[in-house]
Amino acid sequence: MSLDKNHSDDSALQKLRDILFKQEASRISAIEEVHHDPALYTEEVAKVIAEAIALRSKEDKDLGKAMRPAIEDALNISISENPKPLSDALFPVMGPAIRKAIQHAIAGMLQSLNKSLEYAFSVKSLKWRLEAARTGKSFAEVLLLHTLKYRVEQIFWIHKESGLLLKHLSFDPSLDEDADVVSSMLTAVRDFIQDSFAGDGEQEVQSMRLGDLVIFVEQAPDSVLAMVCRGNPPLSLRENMEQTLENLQQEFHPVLNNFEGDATLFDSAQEQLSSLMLVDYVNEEKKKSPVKLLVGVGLSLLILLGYWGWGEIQDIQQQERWHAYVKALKSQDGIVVTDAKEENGQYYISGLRDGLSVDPVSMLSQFQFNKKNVHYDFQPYHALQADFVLKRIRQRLSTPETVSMHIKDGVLYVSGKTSSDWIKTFHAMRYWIDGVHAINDKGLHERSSLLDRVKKITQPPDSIMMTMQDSKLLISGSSTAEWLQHARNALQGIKEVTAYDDKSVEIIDSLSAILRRANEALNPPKTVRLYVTKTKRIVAKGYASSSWITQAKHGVKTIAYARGFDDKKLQTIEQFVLQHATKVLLPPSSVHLTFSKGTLIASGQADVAWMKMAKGKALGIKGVEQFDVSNVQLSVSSWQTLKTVIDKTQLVSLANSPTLQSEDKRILQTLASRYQKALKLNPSSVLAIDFSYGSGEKLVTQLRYKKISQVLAKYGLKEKHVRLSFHGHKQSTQGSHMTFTLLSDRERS
Amino acid sequence: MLQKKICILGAAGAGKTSLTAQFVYSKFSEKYLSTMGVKIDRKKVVVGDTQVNLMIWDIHGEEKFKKITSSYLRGASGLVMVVDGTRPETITIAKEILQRVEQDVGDLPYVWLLNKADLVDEWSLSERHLNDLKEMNKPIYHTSAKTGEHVEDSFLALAEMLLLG
Ligand SMILES: Nc1nc2c(ncn2[C@@H]2O[C@H](COP(=O)(O)OP(=O)(O)OP(=O)(O)O)[C@@H](O)[C@H]2O)c(=O)[nH]1
Ligand SMILES: [Mg+2]
Repeated sequence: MSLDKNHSDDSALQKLRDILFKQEASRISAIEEVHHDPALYTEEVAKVIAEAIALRSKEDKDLGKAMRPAIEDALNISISENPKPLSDALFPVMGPAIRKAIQHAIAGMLQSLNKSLEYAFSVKSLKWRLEAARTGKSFAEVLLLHTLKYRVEQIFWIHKESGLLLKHLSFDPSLDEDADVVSSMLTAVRDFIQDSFAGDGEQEVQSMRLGDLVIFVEQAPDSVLAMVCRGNPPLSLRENMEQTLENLQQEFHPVLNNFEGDATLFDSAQEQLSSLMLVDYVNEEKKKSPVKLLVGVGLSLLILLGYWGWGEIQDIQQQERWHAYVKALKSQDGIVVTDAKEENGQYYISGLRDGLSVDPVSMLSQFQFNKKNVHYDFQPYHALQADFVLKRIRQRLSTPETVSMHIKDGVLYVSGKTSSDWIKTFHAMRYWIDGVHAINDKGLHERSSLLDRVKKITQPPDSIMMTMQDSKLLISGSSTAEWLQHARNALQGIKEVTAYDDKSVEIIDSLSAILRRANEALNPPKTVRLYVTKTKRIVAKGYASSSWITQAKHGVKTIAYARGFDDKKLQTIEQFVLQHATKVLLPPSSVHLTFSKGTLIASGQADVAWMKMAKGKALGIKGVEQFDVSNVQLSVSSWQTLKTVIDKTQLVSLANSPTLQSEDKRILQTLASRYQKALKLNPSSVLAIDFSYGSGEKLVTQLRYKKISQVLAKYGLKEKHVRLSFHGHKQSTQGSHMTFTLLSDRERS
Repeated sequence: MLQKKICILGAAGAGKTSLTAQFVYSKFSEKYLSTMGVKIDRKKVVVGDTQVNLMIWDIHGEEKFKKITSSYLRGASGLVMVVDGTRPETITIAKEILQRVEQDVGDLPYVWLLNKADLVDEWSLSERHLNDLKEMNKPIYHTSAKTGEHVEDSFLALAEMLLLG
C-alpha cells in the first residue's frame, strides 16, 4: 500500500515537478542528450577544455601526471607512424639539447683521458718516451700526438671591424689572460694576409697553421670565429663552426652592429660557443701486457691446484664464500660493486673500478673461486681518495723520487728539485689532474742542467739561443764579436761540453753588419755610397738632398754599434751641381757662380766669348734648369779682342841668325803682357807658337826658340802656357817665320 | 669591462713603440727596432668609474714604400699622433697620415704627442710649426718616452675623449 500511495504521490509530485520545473527538465534532458551523444559532448568539452587545463595545472601537478601516459603513447604512435612532423616541430628545441649532451660527453671524454695517461706506465709509454727523447719533443706532446685525434684548445669570437674580443673559451684557463691581445693579433694577421695575398675582397683567410696548432677562421659580416685546434679535426667541426657563427651573427646582429666595446652583451653566446669545444681520442684496442698474462696464468694454476686440494665443495658454503668475496671487494678502495649475482653456477659482478685498485681476480683464490666461473663487468672510474689521487698522479707523470707530493684540503702540494723537462711536462699536464681543487708548486724547483750552467757562465744576450744536443752545444742568433769571443773562451773551461757550433751566429757589430744596418736605416739615394771604417765610423760619399743629409745625421745615432758619422765627402745636391758647373764652364776669376733651386747664377765680369760658350753649355749640366746671366757685365777688354791682336803678331828672322833683334824683344814683351791679360780673363788660355822654317834651318830655329822662351819666361810665361809646333819646308827659304795664336783650353783639346 | 681599439701613428722613428712600451710596461730602450707591420698591446685604465681595456695598435712608421694599410685602422675609436720634436718634417708626415686616415675611416678623436721632450736642446720645431698644430684644436702633449714625462697623461686624455665624447 504504501508503495501505491507512494506511487500516486510520485505521479502527483511529477505533475508538480512538471508545473514547477518543466523548462529545467527539458534543459536537463538536453544536457543528458549532449552527454550521451559523443559528438555533441565533444563539441561542448572542446569549448572549455583549454581553460580547464590551464586552471587545473595552476592548482597542482596531477593533471600532468594523469596525462603523461596518454601523451607518451600518443608520441610513440606518432613517431612510429610518421616521425617527420614531430621532428620538424622539435628541431628548434633539440639543437641546444644535443649540444648540451655533447658537452656532457666531453666531460666524459676528459675522464676517459685516464686511458691515455695510463700509458705513462705502460710498455708503450717507454716507446713514446724514447720517441720524445729522439725528437726533442716533450713527453706530453708525444703523448698527445698519439692519443689525441684532435682537441679544440681555444675559441675566439671576434668583432670583425675592431678585432676586439667578444667571447673567449679555452681548454686551459691560464690562457684567458691574454686572449684579448691574441684576438687583436689574429685580426691583424688576418688583415695582413688578406691585404698581401688576396687579389680581391672575395678571398678570405680560412685557416692558419702554427706548429702543430691549426687555427680555423670563419668569417661572418660583423664577426669572426677563430678556433685553435691541436691534431686533426674532422671536417664536421668546420661545418659546426660555420653553423654556430651563422646563428650567432643572426642572433646578435643588432648588437654587433652598434658594438661600442662592451663584451658583456655577448655573455649569452657562451653556450653556443662551448658546443664547439670538442675533443676526440684515438681508439686503442686493449692489448694485454705480457706481464699481466703471466700473472693470469699463474693465478689459474694456483686456483686449479687449490681446487684439487679442497675437493668437493658444498653449495651452501659456496654461497657464503661468494657473499664474503663480494663484501671484501666492496671494502676495497677504488672498487664500487653495483650488482653481484649467481646464475647456474656462474658468478657475475659489475660496478666501477679504479685501475689502481686491487685486482679483483687476485682476491679470488682467498675465497676459493675459479676465475673461469666469475665474470666481471667493471667500468673504469677515478677513485677520489687522496692516496689514489696521489698514486695516480705520481704514476702518470713518472714523478721522480726527488719530487714529493701530498694532498691537503684538496690542494696538491708539489715540491722538490728536478729536471726542467719534468717540470715542463708537469705544467703541461696540470690541467688534466683531477681529484684536487688546486695545485701549489711553489716548492718545485729546477735542478740546474748543463745548459743552465753554460748560460750562467757565458751570459748570452737575449738575441742568442742555445740548445744542447747531448754534449754538443748549438749556438745561434746574433751577438757582438766580443761576446762570442768571451763565450768561446768560457766554453773551453766547461769540460762537459765536448763541442760547440756557433757557425750560424751573426756578428752584429761586424763592419758588414753595421754597413747593412746603416743602408737599411739611412736608405741612401743612388748618388751616395756608405762605408764603414775600421773604427766603425760610417762614411758617406757622394751627394744628396740636404733633407736626406740632416736625416742621415740623426739616423746614424740609431744604428747600433756605429761610432759616429763622417760627412766630409758628402755634398748637398746644390754643392755638387755647382762644383760640376765650375768644372764645365771654367769661369774667369772675375765671374762668380752660385746655384740654387735649379738655377745657375753667374755674376761679375765676363767677355763675350766666355758668355757665348757658357750659355751653350750651362743647360746641358745635370741639375741645371735655368742659367741666369742678368748680373754679368760684359767686359770691355775682352779675351777675344786680345786674341785678335795676338793672332796678328808675327816675327820674321834672318837666315842662319839665332840672335833676337831689340825690335823682336819689344814685340815679345807686348805679346807676353797681352797674354797675361787674356789669362786673367780665361785661365785656360794658351799661347800657341808655330815655327815654320826652310831646309837647313832646323838647328838655328831651335836655338831661336830657346832665346824666345827665355824672354817669355822673363815676362811670367810658364811652359804650360805655351804650345809649340814646328813646320820644316823642303825648299830653302830665307830665315824662319813665327806665328802666334791665342787659344782657350777647350780649343786646345 | 669596455674595450677600445686605439692606433698610434706617425713617422718612422718618432717613438711610437717607445711611447707604448713606456705606457704599458714603464720601460724604455735606446735601441731602435723599427716596427714591422703592427704590434698590439693592452693596458687597462680607469676613466671616472669605468674600466677600459685599451687595445693599443702600434703601427709601423710611415715611409715612402711602407704606407700604412687602412685595414689596420678599421674599428679604431681613437688615435695617438706622434711627432718627433727633433725632426720638424715628421709633422708634415703625421698630417698626411691623418688626412688619409680621415678619408679612409672618418674623423676620430686624437691627441698630438710632441715626443723626445728630453732632447729639448735638439728640438727644432719653430713657432710656426707649433702654431700650425695648435690651430687643429686637439690636445698637445710634450712627451718623452725616455723619462715618461706626460706619457700616461696623454693616453689617459685620449681614453677620456673616447668615453666622454
Ligand atoms: N731620447 C729619446 N729617445 C726616444 C724617445 N722616444 C723614442 N726614442 C728613440 O727613438 C728611436 C725610435 O723609437 P721607436 O719607438 O722605435 O720609434 P717608432 O715610431 O716606433 O718607429 P717605427 O716603428 O720605425 O715607426 C729609438 O732609438 C728610441 O730609443 C724619447 O722620448 N726620447
Ligand atoms: Mg715602432
